[in-house]
Amino acid sequence: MDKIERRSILKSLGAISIGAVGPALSKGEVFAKPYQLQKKELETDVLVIGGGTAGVIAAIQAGRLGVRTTVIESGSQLGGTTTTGGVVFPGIFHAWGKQIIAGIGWELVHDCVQMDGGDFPNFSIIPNNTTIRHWRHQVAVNGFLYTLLAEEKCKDAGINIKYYQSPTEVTFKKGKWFVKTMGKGTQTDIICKQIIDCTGNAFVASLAGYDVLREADTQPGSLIFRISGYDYDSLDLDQIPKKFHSELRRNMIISRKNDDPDGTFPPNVPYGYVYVPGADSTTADTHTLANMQGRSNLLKLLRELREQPGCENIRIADLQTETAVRETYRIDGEYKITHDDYVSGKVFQDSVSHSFYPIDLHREGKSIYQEFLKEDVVACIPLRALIPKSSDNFLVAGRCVSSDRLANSALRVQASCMGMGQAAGVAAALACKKDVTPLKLPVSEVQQVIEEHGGIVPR
Amino acid sequence: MGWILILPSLILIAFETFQDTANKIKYLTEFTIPFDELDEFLDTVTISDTQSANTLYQVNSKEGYPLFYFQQVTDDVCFDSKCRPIDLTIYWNITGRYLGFLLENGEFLSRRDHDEFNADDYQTLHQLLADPHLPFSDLTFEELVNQQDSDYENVDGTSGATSKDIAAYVVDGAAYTTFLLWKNIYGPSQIAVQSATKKQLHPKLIWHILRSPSHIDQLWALRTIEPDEKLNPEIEKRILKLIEKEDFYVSLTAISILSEYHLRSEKLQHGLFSIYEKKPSGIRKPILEKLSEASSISPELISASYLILPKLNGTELDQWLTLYEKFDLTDSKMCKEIALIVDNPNIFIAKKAYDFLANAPCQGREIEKALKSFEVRNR
Repeated sequence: MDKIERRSILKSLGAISIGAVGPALSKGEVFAKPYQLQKKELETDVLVIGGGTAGVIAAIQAGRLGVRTTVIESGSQLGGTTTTGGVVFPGIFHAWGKQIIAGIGWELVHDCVQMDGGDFPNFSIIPNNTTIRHWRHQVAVNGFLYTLLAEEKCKDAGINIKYYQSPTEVTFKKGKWFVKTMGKGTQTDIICKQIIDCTGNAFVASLAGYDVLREADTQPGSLIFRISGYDYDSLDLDQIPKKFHSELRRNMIISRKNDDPDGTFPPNVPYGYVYVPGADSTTADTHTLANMQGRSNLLKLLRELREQPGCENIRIADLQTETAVRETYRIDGEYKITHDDYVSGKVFQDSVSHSFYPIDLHREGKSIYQEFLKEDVVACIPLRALIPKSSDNFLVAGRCVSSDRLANSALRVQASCMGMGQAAGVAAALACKKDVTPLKLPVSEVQQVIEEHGGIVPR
Repeated sequence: MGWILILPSLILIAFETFQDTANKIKYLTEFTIPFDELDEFLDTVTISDTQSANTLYQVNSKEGYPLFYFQQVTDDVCFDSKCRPIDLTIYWNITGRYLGFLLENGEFLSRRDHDEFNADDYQTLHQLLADPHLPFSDLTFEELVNQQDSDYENVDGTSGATSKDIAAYVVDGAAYTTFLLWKNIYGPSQIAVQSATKKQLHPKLIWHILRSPSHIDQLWALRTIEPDEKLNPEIEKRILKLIEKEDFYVSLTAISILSEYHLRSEKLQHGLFSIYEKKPSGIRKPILEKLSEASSISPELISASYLILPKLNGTELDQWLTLYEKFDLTDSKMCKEIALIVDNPNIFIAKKAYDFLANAPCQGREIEKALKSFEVRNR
């Protein structure tokens, strides 16, 4: 026994002495060579850039039409605002007693609610813009499940998903797009026939040299969180400043299930949020700033809340990893949807999807300008609003749709973005098959294919 | 809760209400549930005690159907009892939906300073009371007023203006009256109404309610259907009609209440299939999911489904193929139809068909040829 210990000690000493002149490696360990950036090439028919609300749907649609489709996403998961942003009410799909947005977006929401054992709100209750507001028809989903199902549906449609990738260069040559992307340890040169910019910020459109625009003032973003450690019903609200009441009340509802089938749904916003003025997710720098400012604002709020009677033990229970963004850049499209178009429900010859949400402009994080659609009015989105002016083989879907600011404040919501995503997916796939730019497609064919895939085309 | 016969005078009140008697202040919406075979309107009336101090009465037909309910409300209407009491009758239909109110001869409602309601006030009140979604449900009047940053003493009663924020939900100068009556209509009395009807439910009554043009009534009746009770053929027919004709949510709800037990009816399965072809994807998918819950599926339905396969998009095709797999169904006709789809130029669709055939016990030259052709095309 003594001998063994002695031998072992000597061996260790030997290792130390060797280590003094060379690297210490345990059995099986080898030193890796210095990392060389991996350069890859990829050819695809449709490249969807941004795997968020619109991008997921656009990619699935293109894949289901049988064209080779790749989606690149700068983050780690699909779903965007609904998942990473935490806005788990991807509405609104119904208006005035009928479904107005369906197709792949609704399929995903439906599957998510069903698998989660949730309920749908009573869509038969018609909003009256006073006691019955649009949000009654919001559908609450489980964001975690949404992430899983979105990825599964993409895989089922044969989509090549590439996470942690961002475009750095976009060039159009001889009818094809050449896109350089950077990711963790990889640089990929992608050649594709059609691009769908679903970044939400018209970032790729801008890289490609198309005009994008925004006002100096933009709506604030929101960093979403949940707090616990207090009992709202036991609080003496008279002792707590009113500015905190809504923050405390929002967290009361933890169940996504609605006990009253005809009742208010969702009964309350099931999370808290802090506004982040000027939040912009366009670049790494602006997005970092938006995230850090949101976290800083939340810490300040938490400290203030913990000063309130009955809230001393408040703790943070959940926090989204990114600030959700409402407004950045929009494209200058072949058609710009105006406020008047939106509130009058103008139907275009090339309408490809509906949108139903009030004009909803969050101003300086202090008030919201809202304008409700009149009875039976449902807004429409023309294909031209998804195509940058003078572009070739290029579409956008999502909140960067060509629109004026007020119209955009309504068009930006998730169901509308899903409708745009499906339309862009159809247009891109058909454009690939016919080898034309989307603007040259027969509109009736685009509309017919959208309908064949469950979408609803305004007529 | 006890049930006894009530006084003839109350029967008369209830009866007169629906006979359009004059000299009374009454605001009534239509009787939504069609009982067209009933020529005798009223036979017996019963009462129940609810948590409310006021008594609830049920009006029945000769045939034993509950027809409607009413309750005499005799509360003080102004806050802190500063105003006069009211004597008013509230009516519900049998699903608990508000029908209207009636004030006896000489009775009236008043606003602050005891101003009598005018016709517009009564109409506004009636419209507000018909809205089950006023933001009053979980609040006391004090909470409501406090939440709106207002002094409740000034909201109603003898002086002061109605809070700006709650003005849209109340009759001007009569916030407490509106609140009190609304709470009465949608509180324990409504639950008692629904509970009383449920106790008397039988297939024919459910069928009557399902014929109502009101979504509220339709949904209420659908949710009373028991999963382990056989559907009366008339109800089955009616449910199919609701799925086919009514709005999205009613269709969805009507599909959702069908159980494996109900689906033992092949007629129901065929009815669902015939609707499938007519409806958009938002309803098609739930129909197919529901058919998948059946313990067995009609062979005729399966044969008929082969004809629609070529017209489906890839996702819908996949749902049918999944259904075939679930019921372990394969026959040579099915295999041949699916083999044709393997040639579809859309790889997404073709692959669905290929994957099914590759795993199904399908045999024959056409099948092998289709599989091989797909493999060659997609090498």
